[in-house]
Amino acid sequence: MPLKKLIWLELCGCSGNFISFLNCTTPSFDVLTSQYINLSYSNSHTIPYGNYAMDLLFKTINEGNYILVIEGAVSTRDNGVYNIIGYHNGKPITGLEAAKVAGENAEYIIAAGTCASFGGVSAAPPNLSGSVPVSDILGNKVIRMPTCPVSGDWMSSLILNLIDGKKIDYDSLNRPIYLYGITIHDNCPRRSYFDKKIFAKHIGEITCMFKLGCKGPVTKTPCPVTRWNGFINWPVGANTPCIGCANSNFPNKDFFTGRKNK
Amino acid sequence: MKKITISPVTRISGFLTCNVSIEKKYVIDANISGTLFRGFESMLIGKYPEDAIYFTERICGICSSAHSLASARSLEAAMGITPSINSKAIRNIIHGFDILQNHLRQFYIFTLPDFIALPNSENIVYKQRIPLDEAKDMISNYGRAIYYSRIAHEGLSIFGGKAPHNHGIVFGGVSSNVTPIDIGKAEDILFNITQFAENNMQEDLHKIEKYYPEYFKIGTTPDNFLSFGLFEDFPEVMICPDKYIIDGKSNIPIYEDIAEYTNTLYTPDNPNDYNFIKAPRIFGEPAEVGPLARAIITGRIKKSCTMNRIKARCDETILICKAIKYFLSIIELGQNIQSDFTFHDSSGNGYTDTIRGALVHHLEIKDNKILNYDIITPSAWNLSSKDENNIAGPLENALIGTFIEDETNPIEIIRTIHSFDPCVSCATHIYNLNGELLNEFNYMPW
Repeated sequence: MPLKKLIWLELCGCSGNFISFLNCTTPSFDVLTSQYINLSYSNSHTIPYGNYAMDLLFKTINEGNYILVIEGAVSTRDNGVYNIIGYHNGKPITGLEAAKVAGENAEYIIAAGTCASFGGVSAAPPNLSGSVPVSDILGNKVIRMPTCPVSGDWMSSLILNLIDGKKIDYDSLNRPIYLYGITIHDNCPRRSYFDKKIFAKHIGEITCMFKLGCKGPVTKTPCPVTRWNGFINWPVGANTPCIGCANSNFPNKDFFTGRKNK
Repeated sequence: MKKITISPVTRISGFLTCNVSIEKKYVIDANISGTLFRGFESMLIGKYPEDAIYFTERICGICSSAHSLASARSLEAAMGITPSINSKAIRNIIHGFDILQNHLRQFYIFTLPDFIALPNSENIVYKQRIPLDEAKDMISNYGRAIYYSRIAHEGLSIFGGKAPHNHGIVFGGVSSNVTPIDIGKAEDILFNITQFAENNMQEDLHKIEKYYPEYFKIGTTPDNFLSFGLFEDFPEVMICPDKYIIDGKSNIPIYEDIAEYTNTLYTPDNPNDYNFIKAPRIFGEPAEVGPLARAIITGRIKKSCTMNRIKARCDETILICKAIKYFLSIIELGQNIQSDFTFHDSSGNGYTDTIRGALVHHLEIKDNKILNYDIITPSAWNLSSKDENNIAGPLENALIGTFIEDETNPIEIIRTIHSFDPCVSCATHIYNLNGELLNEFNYMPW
């Protein structure tokens, strides 16, 4: 089977979703790139530079039949000049323009991380860059993969299964249900403490984080099940509250709700 | 004279443009621009102070733990709190694994393709000097490095909860409940990374040194170096003290020594120069920061040049491995529980040296909220553009005098740029459409 072309477009964000993607284990980056995808363009990874790199991006776009992953929000202020991803034949290419052009020919569009999915940190008030979610530019077919950053395991499993032609079910926000179907609270290994009303009073305690502002009850991700970094650990496992980084209002709610007026 | 624009400089974090002027095949001038603006510091105004730790780490996806550490230290400085020695050691394990993650990725994924021909490289290394039989191992290590940098993040996650953007570094200390299983897993990861760093990474570095010796002569910067200290609380494994060397003088640097110039930044009135990197200066001078600056300040390496910059990163990888080994041996088993606290009106500076060099967070707290926040990142130092006195930043300076064999493929420039490990994931100093300064403090390339 020929490798599926994949364009990974970094826009207005921290580039941490690609770093997280390199951490993937289900399958690993090595297996994914040798058996399933041809990573045709990525600012962090592509070997050619400058105009050669931009040529590669636009050549892939023109050929079509690729998966488009976008990380970071789309910066729209002043027609996008606060995020220039490179110069093509002397002309500055804004992230806004690249998203529009690359979105047209893409077979799938995946918003990787909360900035791409909902605006996230990049769109936090006062939002001087005019950042918006990818779906504001490319419409409803965008698959949303929130969390800050999105887990590499979730990304690589989705990409592999899309290429395999498996039927993935999505919720009303176009998030894959196998990842975003159940709240953290429902799967939390510390649920028994909650049920017995044993609540941590301080960060670092090994009981329920609810009263320190844990967003687990309102956040749908598989963090308690898949955990992070090769099933090693996760925020509640590190004895801290979930800060709800997968939610559309992230990061605008206080992370440690209830402490502010203490 | 010929002008060349290189954009994007791929294999970095963020968006970098390099404009050079070339005369008779030599670079005679260079201008560096960062072309991403997020307005990060302005987002922090009015937030609950403790949130800054988890918020600011989202500046940068490749070095997030550095920001959580600097942010926590600025809060602690403001409140007059000193974390326990055990917390400091665990923080250094978290930070140390992040440094390993970066250095492995930086050398193999970002740097190596500048020196050997890899698949999908479109022939940018057009005259490969390293013989094929010697390059074979390097190509295989290019792939293996993905695994080793991944497990470095796994090591971080044991104590920090996740990576990138950890939860384990909190106000006053850390949150980790250290078990014998954690120590065992971390030791296993560390052993594997150490073997790879001591053997493969050094061997691959030596091949590059052997076949590209002219890079010991180019990419130099003036002899100004700055560090805010890495593992400075532990003399046994200290990588570098907090120290500057400026104009031959040295002392401990403080926030107040630093001024930031903004004359080359983009404004709607200056629409052709899309630059969001300001120019920090210490006593009016630019300074090189990062692994090479640390090695020169501590005397491990004598001279600033492109190859020594690469070497310093590879050598430091081994030193960090040894330091983490030490921290794992001294940390105590059991919980680390945050003490009760309240915030009062105050201000503080959080300093640390990190992956790419000297980082400082400055914050002011009023009425239980963040009143002001300023961040000066390592890449702002290294990538800084010319200041009001037309003094070039370290990278701009390093590029001048470089011989370009083929102007259609100025790979020599790319090699020196990558030696600085640039990271432009955030920049924030702009004017509104009326020409007014929107946010005096807002600016940061990383």
